[in-house]
Amino acid sequence: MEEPGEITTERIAQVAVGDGLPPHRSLWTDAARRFTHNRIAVVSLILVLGLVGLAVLAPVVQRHDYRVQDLAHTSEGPSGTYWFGTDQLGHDQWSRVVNGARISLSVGIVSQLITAVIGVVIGALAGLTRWMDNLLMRFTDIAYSFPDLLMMILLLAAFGSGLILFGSVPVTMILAISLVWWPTTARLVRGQILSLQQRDFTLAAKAMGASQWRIVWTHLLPNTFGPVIVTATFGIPRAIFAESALSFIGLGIPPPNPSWGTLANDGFSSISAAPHLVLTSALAIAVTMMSFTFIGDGLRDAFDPQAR
Amino acid sequence: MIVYATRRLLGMIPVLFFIAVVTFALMHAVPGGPWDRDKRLPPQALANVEAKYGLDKPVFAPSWRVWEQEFWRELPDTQFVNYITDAIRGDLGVSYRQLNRPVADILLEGIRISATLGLMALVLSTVVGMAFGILSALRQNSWLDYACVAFATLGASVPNFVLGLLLMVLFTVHLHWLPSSGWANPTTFFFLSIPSNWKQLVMPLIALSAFPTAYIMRVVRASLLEVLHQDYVRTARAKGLAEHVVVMRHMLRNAFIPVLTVLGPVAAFLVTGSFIIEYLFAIPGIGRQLVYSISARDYGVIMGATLFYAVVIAAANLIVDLIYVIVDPRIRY
Repeated sequence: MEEPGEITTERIAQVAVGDGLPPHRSLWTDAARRFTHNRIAVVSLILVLGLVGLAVLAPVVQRHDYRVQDLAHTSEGPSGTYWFGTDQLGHDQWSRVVNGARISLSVGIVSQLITAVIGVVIGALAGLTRWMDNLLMRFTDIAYSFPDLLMMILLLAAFGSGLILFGSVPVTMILAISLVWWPTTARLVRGQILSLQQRDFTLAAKAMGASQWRIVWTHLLPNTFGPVIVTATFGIPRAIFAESALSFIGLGIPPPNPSWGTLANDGFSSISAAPHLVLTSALAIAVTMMSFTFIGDGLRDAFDPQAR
Repeated sequence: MIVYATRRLLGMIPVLFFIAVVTFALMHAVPGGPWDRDKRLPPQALANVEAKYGLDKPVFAPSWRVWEQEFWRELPDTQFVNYITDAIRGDLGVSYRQLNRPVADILLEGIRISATLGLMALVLSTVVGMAFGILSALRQNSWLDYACVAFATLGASVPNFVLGLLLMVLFTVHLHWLPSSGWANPTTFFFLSIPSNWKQLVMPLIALSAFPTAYIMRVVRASLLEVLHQDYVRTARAKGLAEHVVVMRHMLRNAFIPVLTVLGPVAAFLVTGSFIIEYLFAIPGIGRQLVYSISARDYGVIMGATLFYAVVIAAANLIVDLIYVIVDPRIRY
C-alpha cells in the first residue's frame, strides 16, 4: 500500500482527471450558492424578472394602447377597466407604466453593460502600461470633479434626446450615462489589477514566461469580473434614477414616450386632482430601484463574503 | 501638509480648465441661441445683438491664417479665450435672458438659497445618521437596529424626487399641513437665506437628507461593528474605563474615519444634486437657475454655475482629505 501523502504516478493521474478530490467548486458556483441563500435578494430577483416579463410582454398586457385617449374618462382613479386610473388626457396609466418599464430597464441595463465594457477595457489597459495608467488617472481626477447629472443634461441637450430605438431604447440617454460614468468602473478594474499583480499566481505565471498581455488577459481580468458585476448591478438603479430624474425635470426623454420620470412629471402637474398618477409612477421607480439594490447587496455578499 | 494642500489646489486648475472647455463646447453644440423666441428677431437685429455680446466671434479657434499671424503676439480673439480671460479677472459676464443682470449676482442669489438648504441637510443627515448608526451598532440585532437597517435600505434606494412627491401627496394634498412649494420673503443671514415661513423648509429638507442620512447611518454602523471587537477596545474595557469613555474615545474616533470619506461625496451630492428638489419644490436656488439657463441657452449662467459646481466638488474632496490627517495621525502627506 502507498502512503497517503506520497506522490506516485498513479496519484498524479488521479489528480489530473479530478478523481478522489473534493467536488470541484469554482468561485461562480460558490457565489451562486451564497446568493440563492439570501432570501431578500432572491425575492428581488423574482420581482425584477417579473418586471422584465411585463416589459417584454407590454403589448400583450397593456390592455389599452398607451397613446389612445379616452376623453370620457379623464383623471379617473384606479378601476376595473383602468387598473392604475387615467391621466388628464384619458391615457391609461397602467399601459403607460408597463411601457415605461421598457425604457427604464433598457436604460438601466444597457447603459451599465456599455459602462462595464468601456471600464474593463480601459482599466485593463491601465493595468498593462504605465502611460495608460497616468492618462487614466488624470481622466478619473477630472471625472470626479464633474457634476455628473449636469454633464448628462448638457450631452442630451447637445446631441438631442429624441433618438429612441424600437420606441423603448433611448440611445442618447444611454450613451450620455455611459460616457459620464465609465471612469468609476475603469478605476475599479485598474485598482483590482494592480493589487492582483502582487499575488503569487501572477508571479507564477511570470515565472513560466507568460507575457504581460497574457497575464492580464487570462489571469487578472477574469478575477475582476465579480466586483465589476456588483458595480454594474448597483449602477442599474443609479442609471434608472438619472433617467427618471432628468425626464422628471423635462430635460430627459421627450414627453410622448412614457418614461417613468415623464409620467411622474405629468402627474406632478395635477397632483391634487389625481394623486394616483404620481403614486403609481413613483412606486414603479422606487420598487424597481430597491429590487436592483437588494440584488446588488446579495451579489456583493456572494462574491466577497468578508466585506459585509 | 501645506505643500500637499497647495499641490492639490494647483492641481484643481487644469481640471477646472478642462471642465470649462468641455462645458463650453457642449453648450455651444446645443442647437439654437439665447435669442430664440416664438417670434424670430429680424436678421439684422440678431446680428447686432450677437455682435454686441461677442457671439459672432469663433467659439474656440480662429481661422488658421489669423492664428498663424497673431498667435505669438496676442491671445486669439475667440469667445472661449475672452470668457476665460474675463473670468480670471473676476468678470463672469452678463445674463442674456435676465436683462443684462451680472451673472455673478444671479449665481450669488442662487448659491445663498442652495447653500442654506445643502448645509441644513448636511448637518441634519450627519447628526441623525451618526446617532442612529451608533445606536444600532451598539444594540446590534435589537428592534432598533432592524428599524435602522430597514430605513437605511429604503432611504438609499428611493430617489429623492420620488420621496418628495410622496411627501407632497401626503402632507399637502391629503393633510394640508405643509405648503407644496416656494421660498417666500427670505431673510438674508450672513451668507444664508432663510424663508420667512419655516414650513416651506420641511419637505425639501426631508427629501434632500433622506439619502445621505441612510448612507451615513449605514457606514457608521458598519465601521463601528468592525471596531466593536478589536483588541484595543477589549483592553480599554479591561483596564476599567467607563463605558462612555470606551465608546467615545476608543471606538468612535476610529469608526469616524470611514464616515469622513463619504462626507465629501455627500456634501457634493447635496450641493449639486439639489436641482431636482429645487425644481420639485419651486425653490429659486442655483440648481433651478442652471436648469432654466440650459433650456434658455443663457451661456454665461451655464458656465458660471457649472464651474461653481466643479469647485464645490473639488473643494469638498480636498477638505475631507485634509481632515483625514487631523483625525488619523497615521496618514502623512
